[in-house]
Amino acid sequence: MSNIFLSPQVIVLLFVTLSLAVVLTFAAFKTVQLIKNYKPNAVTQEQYTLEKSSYLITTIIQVSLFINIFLLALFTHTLNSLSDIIPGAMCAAGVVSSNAFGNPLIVLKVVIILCSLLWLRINKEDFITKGHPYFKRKYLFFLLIFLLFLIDIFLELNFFAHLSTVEPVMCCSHIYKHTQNSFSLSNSSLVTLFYTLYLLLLLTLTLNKRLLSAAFSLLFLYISYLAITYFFSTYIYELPTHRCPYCILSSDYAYIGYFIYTSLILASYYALSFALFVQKTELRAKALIWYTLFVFIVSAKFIYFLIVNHTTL
Amino acid sequence: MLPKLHFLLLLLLKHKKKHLGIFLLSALLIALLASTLFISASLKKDIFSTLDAQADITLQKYQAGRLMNLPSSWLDEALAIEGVTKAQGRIYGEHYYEPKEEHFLIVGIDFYDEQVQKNLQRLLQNIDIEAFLKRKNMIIGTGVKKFFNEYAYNDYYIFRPPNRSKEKVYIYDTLPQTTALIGSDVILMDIEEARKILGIPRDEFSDIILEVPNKNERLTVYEKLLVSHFNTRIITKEDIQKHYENLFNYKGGVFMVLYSIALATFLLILYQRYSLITTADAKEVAILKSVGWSIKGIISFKLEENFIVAFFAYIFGVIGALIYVYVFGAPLLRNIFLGYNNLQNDASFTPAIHLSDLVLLFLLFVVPFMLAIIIPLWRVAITEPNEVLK
Repeated sequence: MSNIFLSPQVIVLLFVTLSLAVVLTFAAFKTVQLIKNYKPNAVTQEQYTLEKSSYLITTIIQVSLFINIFLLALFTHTLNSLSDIIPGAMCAAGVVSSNAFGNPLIVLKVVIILCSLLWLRINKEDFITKGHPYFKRKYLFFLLIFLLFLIDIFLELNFFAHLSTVEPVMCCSHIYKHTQNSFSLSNSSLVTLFYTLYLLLLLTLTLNKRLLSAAFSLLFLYISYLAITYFFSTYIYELPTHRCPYCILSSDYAYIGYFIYTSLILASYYALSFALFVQKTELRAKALIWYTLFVFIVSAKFIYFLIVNHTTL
Repeated sequence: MLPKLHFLLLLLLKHKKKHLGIFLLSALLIALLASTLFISASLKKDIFSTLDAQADITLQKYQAGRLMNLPSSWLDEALAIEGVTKAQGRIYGEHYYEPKEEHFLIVGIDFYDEQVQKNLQRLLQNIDIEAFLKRKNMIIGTGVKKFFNEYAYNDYYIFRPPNRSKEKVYIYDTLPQTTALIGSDVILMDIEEARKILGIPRDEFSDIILEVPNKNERLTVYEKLLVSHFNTRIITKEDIQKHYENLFNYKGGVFMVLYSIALATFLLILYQRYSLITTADAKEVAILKSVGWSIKGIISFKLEENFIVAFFAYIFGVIGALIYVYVFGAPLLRNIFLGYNNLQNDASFTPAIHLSDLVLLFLLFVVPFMLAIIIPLWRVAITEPNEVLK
């Protein structure tokens, strides 16, 4: 067994994840029963019992979402602290990319949180709308989230099991060294794309173009990640060669990363729930506010740099 | 919000007895884990602060897998390597006291070395080196002092070197308590005297320590030493640090794995305990329902009620652990980390409390606690009011 499994953080992470899995499995069983036997207009005793179990499922998902958010924070924190005992790693980036499971795991964790948020929104709408229009769909959606969660556990166990304390890994500046990213965009076009997408999002959301804004918000999520990694982070670190999406989460930069990513995820959640499920102006307003806040925080250091150095683009 | 909280606390006070058992057991479990986290953190802090003063590279001779004395000619060879500013031979070894199966660590120091004198003066403010060297003197650690007092060696101790002679060495002073963690079983004496007692010939050393101030040169020096002799072991400062880091992770980790089994058992008990729906519980739910509470409301209310119990247990457990470790010095539990097969170690713990440890503890305990009771609480919440109120 590798030493990693004896690190206190990893033990806590796995223990909490596994206990969450037990409860979620119970909820998933109840859900399958519910989907199979549910008849909206029946007045039988069985129907009544089934409706009661929907309360349980809702509570479990609420609690598990809450826990998942904490676990994601703990996970990134663990990665950062593991970088002390893994040769070559200077922050989470090195640890994550040390085996094939790391990056999909991080992405999956974010997706699960985003999906759980959306589920709670649908559930709320379903509860207050007459006739429960989303009833079957929301439970199918939950089974999908459960499936993602199982994959998440599988990846997490594999990730830690394959983490070597002997083989050296690369540090973040090296991993993100190439200005070529997965879209092979140059930095200037990346930044242009970032701001253009932001403006397009504002436009489509205000004009109620639902599918377009959903597509844009997903694209923006990815482009933001790239833009932060390859462009904006260098201004936060005040070092042109330091490109890293994880170091902004460390105490050296006042944990600003947690705020940046939270605002981005929240904005995407509001935009997606507005675009896909409920057309409420309140949701749209929140999406606009969080997007603007996110863009403002991310670009603050960059704009500050431009002003201080009297540079024009 | 406030009236609800008031109601919550009233209910908790009313059902004190119901929660007391769970509360005490939880607090105890938390205190146990918190203590080990605190002990481990403060030991780490102490050891890493002393490690900084360690030599950059230590050179040892190994033959057939055993540590041997090395010839003094190696000292000059090491000094000849570019980048090494200082090389020093060390004399140390264990003196075994057979009747009690205890051993002391005798360390020979060159009292004529200026650097050594300076370091000693920092350790013991009122040391007079000249007076020290006038007769056979030694400076002993607190553990040794206790041992000597027990056997009435109040002024001196008679060592028996391998050549069957008798060496009477006087006790000059005791090392300060702050060094107890690593210096409890140490005896410091003049290097020639140490040679005599340990039976090390004049042209040999126990090992050699090297100073390489330039960090970038250490690897090259390491490689040159490696090829100079094939029966060496070379230990760098980083090696020692990593070793201790892994050791503490290992000890803390093994404890934590065992602990999580205990925790899982506790959670199962919790699940069972909450699955028993008492008539009082059912009545309470029935009353809440009849005044218009929804199932959802009752579940979240019950969750909040138990969260308060778990949270206060957490606070009490952590405070209890703080008192146990830092006021009482963690009796019993300390032996897991310090070991007790040699002289009793009297190290006291330097406070080192990390927020991340506390968060970790909270996640490990409170979150599974809440998860374990969700399903039973839901069962309570869906009991039929009409059946109870009949």
